Amino acid sequence: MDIELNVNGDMLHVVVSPGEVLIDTLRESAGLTGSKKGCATGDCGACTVLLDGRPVTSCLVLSVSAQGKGVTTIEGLADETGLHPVQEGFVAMGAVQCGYCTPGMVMMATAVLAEQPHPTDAQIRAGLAGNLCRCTGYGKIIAAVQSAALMMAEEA
Amino acid sequence: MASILEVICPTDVDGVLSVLGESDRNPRVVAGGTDLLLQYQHWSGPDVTIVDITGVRSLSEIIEEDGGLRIGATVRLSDIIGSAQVAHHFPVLIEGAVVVAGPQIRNLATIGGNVCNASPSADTVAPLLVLDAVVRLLSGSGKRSVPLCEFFAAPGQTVLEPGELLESIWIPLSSPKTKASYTKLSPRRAMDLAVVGVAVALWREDSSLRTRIGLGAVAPTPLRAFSAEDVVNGAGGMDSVLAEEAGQEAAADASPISDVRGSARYRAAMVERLVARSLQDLGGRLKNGNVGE
Repeated sequence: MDIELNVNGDMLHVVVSPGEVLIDTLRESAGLTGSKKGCATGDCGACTVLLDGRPVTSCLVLSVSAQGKGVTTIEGLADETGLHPVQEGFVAMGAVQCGYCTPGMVMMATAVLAEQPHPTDAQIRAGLAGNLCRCTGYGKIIAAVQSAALMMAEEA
Repeated sequence: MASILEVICPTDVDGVLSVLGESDRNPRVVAGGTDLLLQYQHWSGPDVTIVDITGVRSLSEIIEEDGGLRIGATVRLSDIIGSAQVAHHFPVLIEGAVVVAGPQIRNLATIGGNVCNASPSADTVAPLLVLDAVVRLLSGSGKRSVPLCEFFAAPGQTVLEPGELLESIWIPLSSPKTKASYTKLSPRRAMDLAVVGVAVALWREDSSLRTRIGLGAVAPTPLRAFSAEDVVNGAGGMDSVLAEEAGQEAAADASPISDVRGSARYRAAMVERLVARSLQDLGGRLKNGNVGE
């Protein structure tokens, strides 16, 4: 099927099979390999992207059904002025080890901060409950999100 | 392996029902897809046509109607959690929705899907059972309503007929003094299924107590613990003896299996404890009126 997807503000024409899920289209057809495919069953959160601003696991979204919606991937966060504050926070706090969960964590964290600009650690943990990391123990990830919240408050 | 032949995205209910009437296309309704897409990846049955109903606006509404709240089939769990109407009338439904999987899944998964998937452990179903919910079904030949407690047939199976669509879930408004709670027992707080799920609603009618008790993950389908309810219904007040007795009856109402999440014995014991504890908590809240709420 020929479909048109709005990814990071660009209209992409891609050919997909009817049962194809968004993570595969993003990685294989659109060349956007930042989003990771971890479990492919909606359990790990590595494939998290924003769909009309709401974080979803892109392994459970049919590409056909994503037509007409705005998709934001990790590639869409940074702009010409530099990294997104959440990305800066992850770098500053050393919140990355193997890195496989990181794009999903970052996308989910941007959604958490959009809803709650001054979150408690508990709110961050609840927000990131669907993102699994087997390396960091989560401590530095929480610190990274808090650091991003501070940066965003200063910028505002 | 079978495959998904095509995906159809109707924008109105008639469009959905018309595709559902074409049985040779093997149409399957999908909303959030968080359960079904995984099933179709390992599907050994015939090829399917997916009917994505999330583009039908009328199915995604929450509306007060006929003395109750009608929640459309494609209302997402995150929208249930954020709904002021649901929070006002049925906070116990939010207690169930908020413990399903994680935030990304709750942004996709729908209330209609959680019901139609007919998992014995579905976290919104036990709360809906104690709220006395009714499912409204549509097909090309008409509509019908089925009490939720009669909707489930077996694990993964409902009384939905081929060509039928779950249009909405209707919940009668209850007395504002009704107290209800949902307790999910699971080793992890997120991304896990319930070992046992217990929902209880408790209220007063005239001067005697009335209750509904819903159980998840302890039988082939979610179920009402009717004989436990009988222990409580008509009693003058809640105390530990009555709560314990109802807990024991609820454990007898359950027919759990042993699996990776817990043994049948453990599940029965936890039903007993959680029902007794819920009844005592709710009894206390009922007595204290709205203090602290």
